[in-house]
Amino acid sequence: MTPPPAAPPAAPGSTETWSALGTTVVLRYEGPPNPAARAAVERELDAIDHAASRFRSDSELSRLNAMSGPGPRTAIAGPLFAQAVRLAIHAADASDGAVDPTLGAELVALGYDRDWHELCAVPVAAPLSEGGDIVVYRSRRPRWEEIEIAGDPARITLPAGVDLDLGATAKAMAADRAARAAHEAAGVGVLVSLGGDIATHGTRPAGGWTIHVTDDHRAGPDAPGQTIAIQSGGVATSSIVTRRWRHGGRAMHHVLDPRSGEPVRGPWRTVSVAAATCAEANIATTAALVLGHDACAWLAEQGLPARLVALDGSVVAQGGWPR
Amino acid sequence: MDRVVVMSGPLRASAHARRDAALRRLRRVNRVLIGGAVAATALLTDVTAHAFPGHARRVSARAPATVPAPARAAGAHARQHARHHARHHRRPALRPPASAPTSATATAPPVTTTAPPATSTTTTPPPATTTAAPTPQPQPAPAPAPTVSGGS
Repeated sequence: MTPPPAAPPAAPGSTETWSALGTTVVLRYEGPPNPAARAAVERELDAIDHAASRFRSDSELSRLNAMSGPGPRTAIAGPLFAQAVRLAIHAADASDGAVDPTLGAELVALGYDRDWHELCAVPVAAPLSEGGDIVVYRSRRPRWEEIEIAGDPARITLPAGVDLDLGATAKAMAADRAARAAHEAAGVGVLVSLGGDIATHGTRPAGGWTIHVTDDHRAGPDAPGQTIAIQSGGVATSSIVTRRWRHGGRAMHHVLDPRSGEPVRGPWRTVSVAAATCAEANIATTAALVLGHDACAWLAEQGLPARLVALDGSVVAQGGWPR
Repeated sequence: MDRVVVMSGPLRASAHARRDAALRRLRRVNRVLIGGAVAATALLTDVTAHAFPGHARRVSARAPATVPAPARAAGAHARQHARHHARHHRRPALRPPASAPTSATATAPPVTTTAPPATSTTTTPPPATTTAAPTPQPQPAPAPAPTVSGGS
């Protein structure tokens, strides 16, 4: 795989920012504003919302989770939902179960049962122990290998008692799809960021796409972190200091350890990874947070450039990530 | 005190006959046991196969482009097999970028990405054009602010 060619050095660029999927969308591309690029991104985001959102009752995912009955639940999936489920299973497979799509019921039990903006949020700057320590008190049996998906159109079967949550991978997949769609619509190099999950497609600008990695994508490019340039592919950052809420007197966050069903506790607070696609980068960042002390070895095994920030703020850069 | 039994000819022949008969019975029993074991194995295999049926392995032609080929095989058994194979051979399952990131510094004024629910569009100005001499040399377009990648 070779990086796309660089654009002429003086090419002007456009940046559009709006809100969708409960997060911030940034669309950046070469050339003057092009409505076709944004329209293509909006179509992709709307499609993934209808397919895989846990927070809208009419999504394919919600309807599958809501099916009642004592045994396995089966549904025919549309192509996009099927792709999202296949990617989620691949994520679990690639990470030896660290990225688990069957944590839907656990997230609901921990209070993450509605759109993020409706939760009792814990400020990003608050200490990680704010609201009480997170205590792992049980073990959990992984169920992702019991998900069945086959056929065309795809028939998905969920084992009894398992609810899907594709939050770890569907957004990154949507970023990849949106970048490709915008590139095809506008014919220029495109970068799409969905809440900090960044995908690129097509010609890169001179010097590459500049990206600032930090704890919180809402913090802006002046926040403590590092500015890098990528030539192609995607970058994702996952953190346990963002998207926190209070439930039952305890501070929760959205990255759960599949082994316990509880929020992970460290030793990393934020992990950034560059990969061939945004989806693969996101799988790696989530897995690294869950794997904890084993994350560095696992990331090295994957050959992925990564930046890991420990709870005390110390930084580990490896796999070709610039220092 | 040991007893020594001396058998006469007819008695010795009778003992041999009894021994041979016992060996024949033993051979028959062995045959029955082996046959029964084979039959029981076949029966148990059949029962187990029906109790835990396998799943059709189908490779979808519509598998996502982001998923490498080994993950496209559908079905739990195929996944378990692929997982075991991947573990055994320690092959990376995720693809690195074509080139590693490089260090960069932000030179442009920051552009915040926190705009919900407002919508914003910014355009990086093109290089200045010369309209009259003696004007300064054309300035390159300022680099756009970096896009922020952080937890969400």
